[in-house]
Amino acid sequence: MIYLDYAATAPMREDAIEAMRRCLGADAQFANPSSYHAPGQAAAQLVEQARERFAALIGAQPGEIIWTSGATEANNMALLGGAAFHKDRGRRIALARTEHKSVLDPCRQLAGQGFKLDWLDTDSEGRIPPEAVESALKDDSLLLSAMLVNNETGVVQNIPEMAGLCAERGVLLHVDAAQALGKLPLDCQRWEVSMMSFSAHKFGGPKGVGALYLRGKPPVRVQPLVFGGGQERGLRSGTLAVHQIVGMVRAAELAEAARESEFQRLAGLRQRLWKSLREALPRIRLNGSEGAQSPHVLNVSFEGVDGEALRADLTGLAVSSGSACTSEQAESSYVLRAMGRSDALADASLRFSFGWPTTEKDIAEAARQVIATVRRLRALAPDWEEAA
Amino acid sequence: MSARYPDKVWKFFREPKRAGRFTDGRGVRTGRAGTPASHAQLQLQLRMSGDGRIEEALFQALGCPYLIATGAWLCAHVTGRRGESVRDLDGQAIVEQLQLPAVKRYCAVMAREALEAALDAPADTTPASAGTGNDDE
Repeated sequence: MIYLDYAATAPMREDAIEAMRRCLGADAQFANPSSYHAPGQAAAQLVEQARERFAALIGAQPGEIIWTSGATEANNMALLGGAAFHKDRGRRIALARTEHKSVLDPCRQLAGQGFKLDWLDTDSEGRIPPEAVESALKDDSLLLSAMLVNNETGVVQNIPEMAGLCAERGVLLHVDAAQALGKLPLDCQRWEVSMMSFSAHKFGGPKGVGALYLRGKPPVRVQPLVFGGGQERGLRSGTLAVHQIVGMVRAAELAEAARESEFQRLAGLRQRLWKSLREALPRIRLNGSEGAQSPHVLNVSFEGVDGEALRADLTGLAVSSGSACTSEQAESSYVLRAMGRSDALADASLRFSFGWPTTEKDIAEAARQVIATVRRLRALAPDWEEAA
Repeated sequence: MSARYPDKVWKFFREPKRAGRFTDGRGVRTGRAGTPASHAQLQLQLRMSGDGRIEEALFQALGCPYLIATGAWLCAHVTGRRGESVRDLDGQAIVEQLQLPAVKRYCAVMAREALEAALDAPADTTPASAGTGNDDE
């Protein structure tokens, strides 16, 4: 089985596993970092060291990092908590339909509480043009939420440009960067973003941990969603998961250290796969933006095949598809439909995503399997013609 | 084997016998279900003997594994039978044979429509055209 689903999740890096192990057993730093005794304080020190190191990786100050259970919680905290705290500044939130569900759903919750959602139109490559931002931002806009790297297509948004437009209008900017760390350079301070969400398991850390960057100057505040022991300055109660945090930050450091060389390597693998598919198969379509693309995702739609048959037939390949099987009835990708793809093309799409373990051999084998499957299914279809 | 599909559906989908279309269309009746606008398509071709017996059936399908399996099952089911005896094919029988879940019952409906259309279609009288497909299994 060839695993090309790193945008869904990645295996943990061995160093990160080892770092976690040192926080778990009876002879390790297992204590509760909120405890006043020496073992507790030693655990707290690990957490604070991790906070400093993580902040340094993303151009932030340690006091601007809140640990969460992942990007979903960070997104919820930013949107629900941010909107609740700053609601007197405005009642409108701008976002694109291509956002992750952990952004769309909290925003829909806010719409139910009287906030107005202003939708940013993307172009056919999935990019949000500056004109769309300018026309969506109104006098009473409170917040704009945008993802740095789209999880389905790998398309990169121009966050510094958006940040400038938001700053001119006094609008908060939340960035979902779950897919970005270790792929693109990040600089929260220089980019002037208000909030940024992270998830550890996308870059080789453990599942179940993430972080929210909350800008310190000028201060961006959120109302807590979880109450209890008052950890994380009262913003996110709950015993800190020392091992998760330590594992996350070790993985982040490794990802960041290899970022530039991995960018080049993955871009090469991505190009190789796209070239192999394009040369062998007519009438396929890239869902992405060659000018603004993270190299770890290749999303392709295939004409003349059914999406479910395509997914079913690729038994040797672990990839995601343009379909969210939330029930027996699959729904074609809302992200691809928002980019103007038909239901059939959105459904008959595959997302290949690459990680540090991906090899050229994996890419060659994936191409072989996809080409064989698409040819087989097209040969079964009535009316299929190679030329459009 | 597939965790997602019944064994019979999986086998028909992965190794669909009687897939394709007749290279020599003479005497062949063709029926279709699905419209060009709809995504799913099922085509059935029947070569019938003078006494109304279906000598050979071929299908083509654009659709999910259940639809492809339905086409393959349909061809196997009707081959060797008299056309009139299968005209009233019970959709429920297809549902049961292939364990079609509720959201896939349209496959049985399409099978019935394609069969009826093929039985009602005039036999093709045009000579063979080259390279239009295959009639192998």
